[in-house]
Amino acid sequence: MEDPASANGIEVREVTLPGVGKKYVMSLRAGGNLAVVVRPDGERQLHHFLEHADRPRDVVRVDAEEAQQLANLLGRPVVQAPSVEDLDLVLGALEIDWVPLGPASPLAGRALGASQIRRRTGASVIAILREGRALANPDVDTMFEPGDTLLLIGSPAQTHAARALIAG
Amino acid sequence: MTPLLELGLIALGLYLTGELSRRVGVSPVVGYILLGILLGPHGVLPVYRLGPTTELLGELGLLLLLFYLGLEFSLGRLLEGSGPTLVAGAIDLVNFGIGAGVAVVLGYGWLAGLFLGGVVYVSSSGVIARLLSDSELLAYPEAERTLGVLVFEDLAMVVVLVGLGLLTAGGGGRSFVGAVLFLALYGLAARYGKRLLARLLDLEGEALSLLALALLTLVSAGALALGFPAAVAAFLLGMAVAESGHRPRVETALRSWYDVAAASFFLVVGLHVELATVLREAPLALLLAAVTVVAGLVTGFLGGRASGLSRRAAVGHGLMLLPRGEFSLVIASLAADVGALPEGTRQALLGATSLYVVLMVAIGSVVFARFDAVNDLLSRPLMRGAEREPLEAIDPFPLE
Repeated sequence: MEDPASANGIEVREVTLPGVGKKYVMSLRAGGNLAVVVRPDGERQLHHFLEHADRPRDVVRVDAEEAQQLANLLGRPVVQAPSVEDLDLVLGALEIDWVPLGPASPLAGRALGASQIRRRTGASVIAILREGRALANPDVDTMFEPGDTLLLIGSPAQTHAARALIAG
Repeated sequence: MTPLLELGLIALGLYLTGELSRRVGVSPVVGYILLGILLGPHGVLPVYRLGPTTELLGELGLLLLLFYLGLEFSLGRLLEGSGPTLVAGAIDLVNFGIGAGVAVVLGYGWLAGLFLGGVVYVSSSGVIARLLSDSELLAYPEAERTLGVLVFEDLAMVVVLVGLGLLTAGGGGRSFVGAVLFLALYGLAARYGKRLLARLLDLEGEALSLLALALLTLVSAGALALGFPAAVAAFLLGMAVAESGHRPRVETALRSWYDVAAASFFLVVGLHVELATVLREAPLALLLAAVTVVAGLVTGFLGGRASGLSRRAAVGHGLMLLPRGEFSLVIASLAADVGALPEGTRQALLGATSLYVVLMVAIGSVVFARFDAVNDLLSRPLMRGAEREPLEAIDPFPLE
């Protein structure tokens, strides 16, 4: 399983709870911990522990759909999804598409230029979202890394083809 | 009664009992045993009887219960928890000695003591995982420790079951040789037959269900012919299948067989128990329950403290481990087949264990429903200084 641990130096401890699910414990910079329990049925539980406490101060239980919505809220400043719809209106036939680049993608570890996305599909990569930052107008030597999200522009057919190429 | 009608009544009875148990909030296992006792041949309304149908279902249920336990068992998982789990698990082992001691002191003898030790020692991973899952206690530090100790108990069960299998192999010298022969064959097959098993089970749908069922029943029957307990053989086969990498698919292939037969097994245990025996053995069951609660809380506290939990969480660890269930019954029903034990002792073990499991599941359900209150009540006298303060008092960010 892919380890979500330790992005930006924030430590996450992953624990298997046999027969029940998984627990991820994140130390908070302000002190204390946030424990996220993931159950097989998709329910997530968020437990907030104050520093040195052995009992959570509060528990939030969300089902799979609520968890998705919560993830959207938490990720919003990074991705800014609504502006896409605005852009769609302005640009008409053009489409802007976000495409995640997973570790299995054939493009992982290759440079933008060498991947020839533009030549093979017609769509252009106008930005790369990486670790919460946007690299706008990346140049041909920029390397793709697993976990990147590519911001593509093109006709619906072109972005569709590019999506297939990136997924591999 | 035709076999078809009998099977229908068994399935219907189990379905209704299961629904009722869930509605009331106790483990269905408890409902199934009570159904067997109350509607069994010696019960208040004799609907079910012992015969070829119940015998087959009960036997298959026992095999499947242990086969699935073997499938789930993973040494890697135990080692993942590493140090603290091993420390807490080792201290938890004391409960085995305490259960065995009770039997010896009461004059049942050391062989019955080994079985009763197992009955008292093994917490119910099924009941505890379900109670924990439905609670908001999953992120408590002791929940992680408790689930780790349950895996440790499974490992100890392997040793206990194989040991009991060897000890009770029919009694005669010939069967002992047979049991050792079975273990040797198993060892050879596990060592050299891994790839063959992996290739054999590389099947889909119907074919996989049929082959898995054939393997399970034939290996168990073969073990029995050699004088080795069939249920323990099923457990060992489960471990081998898990090793072959086909665990999830075999689990799915036999799932509905498991659901029907495992539920039937608990019903059949109830059929073997006379209501009069249960009432006669009630003092023993109550004694075992009292001993389990006291010893369990003490060893749980010590194990929790030794593995780095706070005093409050260590008390919670002991509380979480209290429920007993399916495997206490499995052990008692294994004892029921041991010729070396007197008939009276076997009946007493099975009757007392049935009531004991009902009591421990009930106690567990109450404890989990009011966990924080019970936990605080018990841990307050043990805590010192700042630990005693309610959580709000040390809250650096009080709510407005």
